[in-house]
This record gives sequence, structure tokens and C-alpha cells, in this order.
Amino acid sequence: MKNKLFKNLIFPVFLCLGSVIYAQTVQGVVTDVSGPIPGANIVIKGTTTGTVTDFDGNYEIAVNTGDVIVVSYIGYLTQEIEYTGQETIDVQLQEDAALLEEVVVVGYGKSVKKEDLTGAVSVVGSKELEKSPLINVDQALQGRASGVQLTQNSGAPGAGLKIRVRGSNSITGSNSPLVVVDGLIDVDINSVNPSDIQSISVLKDASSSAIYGNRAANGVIIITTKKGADGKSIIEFGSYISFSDPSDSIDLLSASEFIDFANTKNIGATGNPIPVFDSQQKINDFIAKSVDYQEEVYRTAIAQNYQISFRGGSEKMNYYVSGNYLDQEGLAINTNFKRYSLRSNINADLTDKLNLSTSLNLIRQEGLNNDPGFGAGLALGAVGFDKTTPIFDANGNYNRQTLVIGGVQESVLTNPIFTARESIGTSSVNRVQANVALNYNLVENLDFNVSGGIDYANIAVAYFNPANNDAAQITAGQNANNSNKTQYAFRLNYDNTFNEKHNLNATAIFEERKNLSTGFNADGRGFYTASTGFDNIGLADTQTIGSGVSERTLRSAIGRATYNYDSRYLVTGSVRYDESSVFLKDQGGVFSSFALGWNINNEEFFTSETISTLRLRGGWGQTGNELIGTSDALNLLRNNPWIPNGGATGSTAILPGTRLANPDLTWETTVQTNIGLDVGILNDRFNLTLEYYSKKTEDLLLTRQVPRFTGRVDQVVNAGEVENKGFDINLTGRIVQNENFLWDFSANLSSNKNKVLSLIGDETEVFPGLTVGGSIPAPSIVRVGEPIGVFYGFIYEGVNSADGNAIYAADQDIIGDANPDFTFGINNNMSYKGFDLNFFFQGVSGNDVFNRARSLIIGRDGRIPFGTSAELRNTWTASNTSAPLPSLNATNTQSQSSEFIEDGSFIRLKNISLGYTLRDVNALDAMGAESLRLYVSAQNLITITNYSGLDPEVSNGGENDRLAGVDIGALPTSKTFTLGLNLKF
Amino acid sequence: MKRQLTSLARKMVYLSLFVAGVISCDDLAIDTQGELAAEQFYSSVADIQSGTLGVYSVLSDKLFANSENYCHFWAADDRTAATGSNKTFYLEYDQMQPLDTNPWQTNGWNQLWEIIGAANTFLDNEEKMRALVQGSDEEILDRSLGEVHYLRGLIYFELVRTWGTIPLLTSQADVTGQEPLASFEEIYALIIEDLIFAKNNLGPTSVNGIYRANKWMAQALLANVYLTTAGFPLKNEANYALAAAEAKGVMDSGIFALEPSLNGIMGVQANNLSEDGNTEAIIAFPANIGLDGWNAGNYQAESILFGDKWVEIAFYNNFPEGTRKDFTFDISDTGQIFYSIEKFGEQDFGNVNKDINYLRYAELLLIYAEAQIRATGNNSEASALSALNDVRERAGLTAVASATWEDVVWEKAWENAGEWSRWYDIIRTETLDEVNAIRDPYDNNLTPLGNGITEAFPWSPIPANDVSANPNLQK
Repeated sequence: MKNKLFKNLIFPVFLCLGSVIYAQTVQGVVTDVSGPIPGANIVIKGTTTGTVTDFDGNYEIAVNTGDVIVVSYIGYLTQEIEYTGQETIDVQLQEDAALLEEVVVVGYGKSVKKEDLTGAVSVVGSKELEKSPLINVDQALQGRASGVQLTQNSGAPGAGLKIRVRGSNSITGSNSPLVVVDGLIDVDINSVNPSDIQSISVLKDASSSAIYGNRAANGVIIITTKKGADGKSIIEFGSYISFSDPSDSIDLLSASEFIDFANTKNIGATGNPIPVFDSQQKINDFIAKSVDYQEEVYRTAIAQNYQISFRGGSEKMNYYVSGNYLDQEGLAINTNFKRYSLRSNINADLTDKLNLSTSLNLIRQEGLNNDPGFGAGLALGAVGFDKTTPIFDANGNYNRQTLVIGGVQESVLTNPIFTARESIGTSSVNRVQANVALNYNLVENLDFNVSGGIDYANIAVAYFNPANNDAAQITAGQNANNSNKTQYAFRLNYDNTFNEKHNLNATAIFEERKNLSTGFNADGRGFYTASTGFDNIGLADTQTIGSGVSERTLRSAIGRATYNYDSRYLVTGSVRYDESSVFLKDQGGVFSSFALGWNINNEEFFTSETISTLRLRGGWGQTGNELIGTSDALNLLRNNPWIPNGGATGSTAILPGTRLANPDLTWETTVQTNIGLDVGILNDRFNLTLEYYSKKTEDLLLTRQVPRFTGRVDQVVNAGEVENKGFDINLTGRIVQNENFLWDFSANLSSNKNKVLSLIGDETEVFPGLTVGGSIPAPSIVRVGEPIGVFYGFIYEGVNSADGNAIYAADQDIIGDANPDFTFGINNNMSYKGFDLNFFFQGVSGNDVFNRARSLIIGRDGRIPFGTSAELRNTWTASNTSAPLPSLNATNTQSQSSEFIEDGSFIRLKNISLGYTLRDVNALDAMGAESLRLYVSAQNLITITNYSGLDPEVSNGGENDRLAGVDIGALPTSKTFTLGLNLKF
Repeated sequence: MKRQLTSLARKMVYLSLFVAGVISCDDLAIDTQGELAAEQFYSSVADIQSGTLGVYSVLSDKLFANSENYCHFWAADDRTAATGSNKTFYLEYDQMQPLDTNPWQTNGWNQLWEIIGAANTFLDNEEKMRALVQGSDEEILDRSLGEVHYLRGLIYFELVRTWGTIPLLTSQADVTGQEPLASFEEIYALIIEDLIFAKNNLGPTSVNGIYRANKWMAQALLANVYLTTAGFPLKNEANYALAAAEAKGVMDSGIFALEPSLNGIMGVQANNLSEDGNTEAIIAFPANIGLDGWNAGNYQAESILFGDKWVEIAFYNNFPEGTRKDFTFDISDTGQIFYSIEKFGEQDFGNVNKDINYLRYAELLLIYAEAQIRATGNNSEASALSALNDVRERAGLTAVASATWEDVVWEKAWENAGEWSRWYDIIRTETLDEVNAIRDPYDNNLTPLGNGITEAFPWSPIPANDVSANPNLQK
């Protein structure tokens, strides 16, 4: 935008200088695939004579025969046409892939040209976002931004992704990046409608992100939404419908096999078959009524999305207004996610010197049973609940629990169909994000900017859990949370160029942010009826209420300066002072950074024809992390009500809190060094970016487990060091480029090595005692010298062919690592005439997954005593002593063992889409429409992996990096087919 | 140019005033809204009362009701765990090969120490509380101190019998986490001191709730502590006489008696102290709250349902026939030996609705009988035999005219089968090898024994997490 304006202003100046006399005139229209281009430049080669196209793309210029007409426009490939006496010369320009990402948003109102960039920033533009239907913004980054790892932990509808920029710094703290949307700092990335996004910048290295100081250690994601432009009003309507199925299913035993194996196990343990399976008649009855629970739990889920936007503007004002509605069914029955959003971005020049920009986002999200933990229960039930128990009994009542009773043990699973249909878990989020900024041009080159913003969310969650067997067990409750984030900033910005070659930009900012959240909850247990759901908690036998508030304030002063000499030498420096209210004594922290860049290709000595860009850059900086609870440093007491109290009233029981106070707490600091090399060849038709980085995080905000004999559980301390080192490679190119056919290619590869350098004092390891899904222990450990997210347990060495017992090495050890060696993405965009084709692969390599779900469904755990998995066919028996699985009655099997560690590498065809764009068709003209794009696409069509579970990507550990790669059964990623259209007026 | 500069200067002044008007440079306020700060507590009579209750709160409904806390009881001969399943953590003890990472055993350790922490924090504030009470409130403070000392003694007694030597914290001020292990002598000295204090400061009836500590609870527990210190590892044999004397004190109170029928001892909510009550419960914990069904059962019907707590075959076979045997066990269709629903509670999945009886009068009688026989060296001592025969007769057995202390210990094994005392009695009497020697071959085959736990070192390993943070805990 800036560049277009720049050229529009500069060219007329050149025009005035022309003084050659011409004999003829030629006229024509300049277009691109979507229509006329106003403001394109037409110049006679070798002269200063030229013109620009008008609003409809028309031009007229005086020429002599033999002149070469040069047609250029920013973002498009320049074309040259020889004048040989033609009356008209129409030109269709083609987009220049290399220039699409030219301007990079780097935060606090600043954008830089790519050639002036000194830090490590990944950019994803709207062109890429449009190619696949997105439910959430975070999906747009997966595989598309180097150095950013996104993990789809759950296939629950509306579920977000785990985002890690260049690895995890913190062992117990948050490792989620800071998200900034149109200047509003610290928002939920999925509170933005993906269709509204113009571009996403990910600030990966400290020299770029240090400007965000205390919250920047995990990287910063800057989202810029669409704006209107001076010119014609554009109305766009888009819609799609998609059909999703689970990407995989688990091979299970047939009902008769299940009964055989169950009886075999029971006979081995007790000498007798299970009473319900002790006659052929009973067995036949069970087989006749058996149910495929995978079929019953999952369905073909339909999603619909509707989007309409209006944009346009005049010289003094522009607007972008959009509305969106999304309705996404979950793969599991009775699960759903909906989103309604309305955005308005309006900018106005109030006077010559005063500019106002506003942005308003209203969004409502509604979820039904879409909690990933709930979905995980259904996913485990679908494969682990025995198929011999029908959904209903003879009277039409649910068989809530297994009918396989009286054996050595009974399954603890509840009928997943009962759970899915009868549970109600709703969540609704109403959110208002508003941001307003006034920019005043004090004098030439110096601007003063004042801005304020609010992100208010009202979150209501309600649940109703039906009883497994009696009404006294029904639980229901509601809770309401309000989160109010406010911020304001003053910014002074100076920008000037001296002697044409020295460009200086300096900014000073003061900023204050406050987050206030309040919560209230009411819960009940024991309802005589299920009919009132969660709408009458007062009926409960036991009622509990709670409320709380937390507030955090952050105050910052920031300075930044960049100096650019002749686009050859680039220097950037910033310093930021932050104060945070979560620390008691040491509230302040200083974060500084600098970076240098050298555009070698702009040097006079550099004369390569092939290499068009050669840039070397390097940076160093400090960033911080203050993400602890607002009362983590305090010495607090807790109430552990003693409800029975022997019949006496007054049950308040106060004892020391579980957390040990720490008044000395302060920042966690990450120091990062980054070196980057950019190479462009053939006029930047091919571009390669290489980045190497090394990060060290010190004074980790570590929730240490204190020795429990102290009576306390944990304490937040500053201790330990974690290192992340790695590289990001990004390659883009236009492989084929001719009049009709274009093929753009981009690929990225990232590798990160994480290592815990030290823990507290001389400690070498921490047994976090972490559990997933309630009470299932995970084999995760944190150990010095190893990455965060390794598994520790027994080393499985096979089956003792003599007795069917398992064999384990004498000592336990590290048995796996959930961190991948590489993550990568490969994206292809092709267009041929009106057709466009996109295919996009994404993958990870070298990570391990602890497949606890597998151990559960082969019956290793009393939770599911009788296995359901088809894998049991390979069980040791007296007649099959070479089988790979230990005997059903093995007495020494361990779940926390390498037997269940599997390679989680995968490559996935994340998206493939084929579109056709119609234009200049009578039907469209009649509607007044400019173009119509129709497309079909498929997501996650093919996944290549050796992982035996449903989906190598899911993890029940969620955001917790110590629990990465733990699968106890989670909703899988869906395989989706989409039909869609985009209509443009 | 000059004009432009003055204009700029003027604008800058306005701007600075505007900015300065908005921002401030005070320290940012710390978020303490809605929190209970430790420094302000223990400063009213209400604080004293809720602070006392705080020491009880962890103990009562969480610790003893939950099957995933105390795995060491499975080392004894009255329990075994199902195999090839999630009973690993019991199996480790059943097979005498516990790991220091056993998460359920670690839960028990953690919660016991939370109580010690709560008790010490309360006692640390004694002076502050003493300064604020006057008149009848002094009584409240004295009684509270008695209760807290009683609870601290009780918990240290559990800790020392389970893990052996442990750190001995008597104050929470300046706890570093690096404290060394104390000796058995030091630990038991504190337990005895605490219980004597409690016995002397508590009245004969519970106040403010039927489960709250009273003089008899402290004294009955003290009897058991003396009995224990007379055996392994302290072997302070003079304490048998003290044990007998304290037990006698409780027996002579006339408050407690054996229930005429075994059905009255526990098992159903109607026998809870807070309901109709029973005459046999001396120390009981209330647990009528909803617990996660999975977790609800060391002492409960659920433990039977889940197969957490089965019975070793030799123990069952040696158990004297009669009404008590029928009352104690159920045999499944498949021949598996379970504890009975009658003894261990009506089944109410997910809810623990009945008391956890920690010390019954029957056990006190047997404590007295053993201590008296050992103290007097007389196997026909009349009062000892009378106590023993009271228990035997209710069990449908004939009275005996003489009994060795070993006979009494076995009697307690039968009477208290599946309850709290068996493993501690095996340790105290150094009979682990003897008990293991008579184990049924079926059990030996199913759950072969290792040698992590031995007669000479019968202690649970201190959890790895604590040892790794404090190498002083290495044994």
C-alpha cells in the first residue's frame, strides 16, 4: 500500500521532466486476473516519458515506432512490449510472487520493507489463508511458518492448537506466544475470524520481539486485519460446507473374539469363565446384540461457514466491515461449535494532521460438549467399552455400564453413547475487542500517537453430568467469568531521511495494561431428577459456591531506533523497561536488543546477474516472561471444609496453603542470538532464508515441588536454565511462469533442540508426578541434559517365551522424547487460466508418543480389564509362545514402559483444493458481480505414519509441554471434504 | 524554522502535561483481593476454631478413605491385590518390592505431612493466640491445643510405623526442606509427649462434633504407642506395662463396650458415630462425602468391587471357622476370596457414607491382653484372658484358659482382618519371615515375593521426589 502510494506520487514528478516530441499515440487497458489495474505505470523505456492508468485501467501515451513500452505495477511482474504501430496495446500483468510479502509488520505501528528487516520474522499472508477453509486462525500457521510448531492436540470442534515458537523455554510456566491484533496486545488468537486477516507476522528472534519485553520470550504473533482502500467498493460473499469423518479407526476384536479373550484371561486368573459368558447360549445372545461403538460414537460431521465483507473508501476515509457465521459439528455425536463475528475497521483523516483509526470486533462462540477432555473420554469409550454390551437393555434403558460383570474385575468405562447423549457441557464466550488510535503529526517527520483498547470477555460454562447408576451421583453446575483487559499507550515517532542516504526512525512509547478477571461458580451434587439439567442447581443435595478475582498490571516504557544507510547497512536497537504487579519486591525489568543487517546486493562491488538479493543479518536480545498467577508469590491460607464435622455446624477449616511464598520472585529472562541469511535469485523469483538461533532462558519461573515433608506442595522460584538451539529454512519460488500457467512453491523446515541445562540447586531431575485424564500417571520426567517432554520408565525387552511374562531391563531409564527432530511444510499453488490448485503437506519427524490408549485397550490396566484391541490376537499363549504380546495373565507387566512408546512421525496432506474462477460471464454481469470462485477441497486426506493409534498428533497433555505426546485416547483429527464459493462484487 | 521549533516546543509541553497527567510512577499494587493472608490469621477465637478444624480436614475425608494412599498394608498377609492390572501399586507391596516412585504411596506421605504442617503452624502461633484469649475462651484454646497435639502424635505414629526414620519437624518456621532424619527414639519421644499432653488437656467427651479428639482417644492411642515402642525397632520392653496401664485406663472408663453382634461394629451408615453410633468405636473418622468412585476405597466396599483388596489364601485357611469368618469374608462364584460387604460397608458407588474405624474397642482389649501377658510374663493372667475371651466369645469361639502373646497377636489378625493393624503388628513382632513362610503356594506363584522389604527393614521407601530434593533422606 505504502509503495503504491509512493510510486503514484513520484511518477508524476518524473513526467514533468519529459520533453521529447512523439509522433503517434497508443492506448490500451492494463488488467490482472481479477480486473483492471488503476495507477499502473506506463513508461517509454530509456526515457522519463510516462503516464499512469486511470480508474478503469485505461491509458494513453505518445510513442514512436520501435519504442519499448514498460508496464509496471507494484506486486506484479514488469512487462515490456515493443511498439510496432498497434492501435491498442492491452496488457495483463502477472503477480510477482517474490514481492507479495514485501512489507513486514514488526509491531507498535511499524512496518518495514523486507529488505530492511534485520530480525527473524515469518509471514503468512491472506493469499495463503484463502486456499484452505479455516476454522481457527492458529490452523493458518501450521506448516506455513518456519520456526513455529503447531500441534492439534484434540479433534474436538473449535479446539485450538498448541503454538510454540522455537521450542519451549519454560518448564512449568506458559510457553504460549503473545498475540497482538491490530495493536491490541495479549488477545486470544482464536478470537479473530480467519477470513478477516490480512497478514500474520511471527516475531521469532529477540531482536524483533524484545520491543514487547516481558511477555515476548515465547515469540510474538502480530495479526493485521483487512482494511478498506481508496477506490471502488468491494463486496465479497463466501460460503462453504464441509463433511468430516475421523481420519482413522482402531482395529478391534469381533464380539466373539472379545468373549474368548475375556474368558481366557478370567480362567487364567480364577480358573473359571466370566459368569455372563459361561454358556454358549449366553455367548450367542451377547454376540447377536453386539455394537460397534466406533460407528456409534462418530458420525459424518457437517460444518457450514458464511462470510460477507464490505470494503472501500475515499481519499479521507476507508472502511472494512465483515460478518461471519460458522457452525461446526464435532466428529463425536452431540458435540458442536458455533461462532458469530462482526468486525468493523474504520480509518479517517480528520484533518491534514490528525488521523483516527478504529477497530471493533464482536465475537460470540458457543460450544456444546466440545471440551477436549470430554472428547477424550468418548474417544476412549468408543474403542475401550466392550461391544458385547448393547446401548440399551431390554426395557429401553441405557446400559450405563458394562454387562461383563463378575469376572476378576470390571471395566470402569461408562457407555460412551450414554455419556455423549445425556451429558450437557456448554460454553459461551461473548467478546468485545475495541481499539482506537489517534495520530497527530506534530511537525514534519514527528508524530504523536495515543491509543487505547479493551478486550472484554464474558465466559459462561455450564455442565450436567448424568449419573452412572443413581441420581445421587448427578452433578451439575454453572460458572461465569469476566475478563477485562484494558490498555493505553502514548507513542512519539520520528522518521526522517538525511542527505538521501541516511534514514533514521526513532520511537518512544509509554504503555500500561491491566487484566482484571472475576469468576463465580455454583455447583451441585445429587439431584433427584435429571430433567432440570443445570438450570436448577438449588435442587442439589450438596451445593457449593465459589468466587474469586485476580488482577495484574503492567507498566512499560519503550524506546526503539532504526538506522538505515542507503539500504546497505541496517542497525536496529530497542530497550524496554517493564514493571509487573505479580512480583512483590523486584517488579521492574529491563530488556534490550540490537540487530545489524547488510544488504550485500546493494553494494557497488556486487554485480551478480543471477543473485538478486544477498543479505546477512544478525541480532541479539533479551525478552522476559512474567506469566505466573497473580498470588503465586504470597503466603496464603486455604479453606479445606470439613463438611461432616461430626454433626456440628461450622465447617470452615483453615490450614496453610499448598504453595510456599516467595517474596523474591522476579522475571524469567530469555537471551537469544539469531543469524540469518537471505538469498534471492533471478529477480527474487526464488528466495531462500536460513536462520540459526540459540536461546538460553535463565531464572526460570519454575514451580518446584518442595519436599512434601515440609507440608507444602510447591513454590514458584526463579531457578534453572533451559536452552533451545535450532534453525529455520524457508524456500519459496515460482517454478513455472508463463502466460497461462503459474506454479508457486514454498517449503519450510525447522529444527529445534531443547535441553534442560540445570534445575534447582544440584537437582538433576524432577518427578513431576503428572497425571492425565484424571488419575492416569504419565511417564514424563524433567532431567538435566534432556529436553522438556521426555519419557522415563521400564525398558521393555519382549516376552519370556516360557511363561508369557514380560521382560524388562533391570533399571528404568529415558525411553522416549516427545520433541520432534524436524517439522516441515510444503505448499504448492498452481493456476491455469481460471483454475487454481493448492496442495499443502505438513509433517513432523522424530518424535515419540506414549500410546497409553493402546495399553488400556489391550487390557493392561484394571480400568479396562478385558482388552478390546485386535492386537490381542498376537498374545502369548501356551501354544503360541513366540507372540509379541505378553500373556493375558502375565503378572509383571508395566504400563510406564517402552512397550508403549511409538514413533509419532507423520506427513500429512493437510490441504488439497481445486478452484475455478468465473468472470465476464453474462450471469455474473446480470447480478452485477465481478467474479465467482468455486472450489472443492479436502483436508487431512492422507496421513502417512507408523503410529498405531488414531492420530499421532493428538495429546491429552494439552498446553503442558512436560506432557507432550501422551495419548490416552483423544478425538482424532478429521478427514474433511469441502465445497465452497466466493462471490465478489 | 525558528517559528516551527517554538511551535514544536509548545506542543511538546502540552503533550508532556497530558501524558504526565495520565501516568503514575507508584509501585504497582499487589493482587491480594479475596485471599486469606497467613500473617493476619490466628488472631480471633473464630480463627482458633477454624485453624483447629484445618488440622483435621486433610485426615478425615481424604486420607484414610482413599484406596490410593496406603499401599503398604498390602505387604501384610491379610491382603493381596489382583494381578496384571492397575493394581501395580499394591502389588509392589504385596510382592515386598516397592518403588520409591509409587504414586499412591507418595499420596499418603504427602497428605500426612500436610497435617503435620497444619498442626505445627497452629502450635507456632500459640503465643499470639494466648495473648488474645480471656476467660472461657482460654478453655477453647487449651482444648484446641490438646486436639492439635493429639493429631500431630497420631500422624507421626503413622509416619514412623510406615516409613521408619523420618525428619522430625516441630515448627514450620524456618523449614528449609533439608532437615535430616531423626532417630526412632526422638520421634517416639515426641509422639508420647504429644499424646500425654492431649490426654491431660482434653476432656472425656468430644466437643463441637462427635469425631473430635477427647481424652480417651488420646489415651487409647497412647496404649498402642507404648505397645509398639516395646517391640521392634525400639524394643523398650518396659513399655508393655505402660501400654497395659493406659489401655486399662480406657477400659475402666466404662464408656466403651463390645457390640453384642459383629454386625454392629461398622459396615453401615446407621452405625456411624454421628448416626445411632456404636459402643465399640474409640477412634473413627467420618467420611460421608462424595469421593471420586475410583478413589473411594481402602476401607470401603468399592475396594472389594474393584478387586483392590483380596485375601491371601493361607490367611483365609488359617482363620478360625465360625460366625466371625462368615462375617468377614465372601467367596465369589469363581472361588475368589473377598472381604465382605457386611464388614466393609454397604456399597454406594462413589460415596463413602460410613465411618472409617481406626481403633475399635476390640483392638484395645487385645492391646491390653498382649501388653499384660508380656508385662507379667503370665500366660494365664486373668484380666488379660478376660479381655481376650471377650473378643473370642463374640466371634463364636470358645474361651481359653491360657494364651501366649503370639496367640493374642493372631487373634488380633483375625478380629482386625483387612483393617489397620495387621502390617504394623507384623513389623513390631518381627514375624514377617514366619508369616511369609506359611504363604500358600498359589499366592506365591501369583505374586512371588521379592526382598525389598524385609523383617529387618520393613519400611516403605521415602518418595523419590523428597529424597531427590533432600539427599539427607537417603537411608
